Amino acid sequence: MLKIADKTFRSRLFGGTGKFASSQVMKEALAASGAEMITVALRRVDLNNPEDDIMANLDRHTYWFLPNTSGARDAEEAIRLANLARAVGRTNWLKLEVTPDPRTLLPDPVETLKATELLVKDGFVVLPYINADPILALRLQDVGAAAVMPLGSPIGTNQGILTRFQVEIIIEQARVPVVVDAGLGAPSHAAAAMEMGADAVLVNTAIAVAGDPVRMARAFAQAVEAGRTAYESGLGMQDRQAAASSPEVGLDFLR
Amino acid sequence: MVIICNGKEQKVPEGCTLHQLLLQLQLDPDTVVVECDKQVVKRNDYEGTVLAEGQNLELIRFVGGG
Repeated sequence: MLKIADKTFRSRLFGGTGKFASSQVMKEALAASGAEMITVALRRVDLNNPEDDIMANLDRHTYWFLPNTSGARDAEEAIRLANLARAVGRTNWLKLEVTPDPRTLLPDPVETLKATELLVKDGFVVLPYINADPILALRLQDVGAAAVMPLGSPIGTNQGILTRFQVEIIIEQARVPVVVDAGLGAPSHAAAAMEMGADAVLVNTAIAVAGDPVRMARAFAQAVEAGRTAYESGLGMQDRQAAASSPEVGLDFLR
Repeated sequence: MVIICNGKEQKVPEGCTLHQLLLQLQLDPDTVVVECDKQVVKRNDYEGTVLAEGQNLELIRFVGGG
């Protein structure tokens, strides 16, 4: 079981709710993914479309909501969004995202650290989205982050884990759960993260934009489970030298 | 009287409460959060909050995101 702050989760796959073609597809894909924790964003109500309400499609009792601060460009904006999230969602959990550069959507480490410290003091359970920086991950743990969410590759790029070396160090050093977030484009990427010892992964785009999001959600769920089981089972060491799997003795009759 | 609602002018009757405004806009007060002049209004206060001329309201809710 995965434990973050005071809450336990059976599923190590966290779902995103963005980019789905319809609410119906989103609902079915989330159900197929087995995710218990799902992310949502905060935006102005579209007053021309008052009935367009994601909460009408998602059961608060089925899912644990993790509001994000997407769109925030600095700590101040993130904190404003955090307070809105707490008010609308009746939750003090937060995926802290501070992304000043729209081209890369890479997170700002300085503002993220600053906001984490202030939000933790204000009673939030903060899961910061970060570049895969082992030192930053430690600093965030020091100020009370409940988990760290290093990126595999930039948001929405489907490029997989380009940050392998750094994510491995983050996992080695972690005293809080590590959730690999962003860029996981295929079930094999999610499995790789879990085999490395990540505690969970967050997947949105790869499922939402798949040809068949419901089946893709299932594929990710299977991959996460396989990867976790493999990690717990203890993977064999890698070697540069070949080692025969079949016995090397008993070949005398050939020569 | 006129207030600003999500960046646009909105006519509301005198004495209109925040709760009444949300119903007028066909919004579920349970899933919408309101910032009034940048201060978050507690959901329990929606019925008791009487709107005033020129107030700047932001109506926010959860949408799909990653």
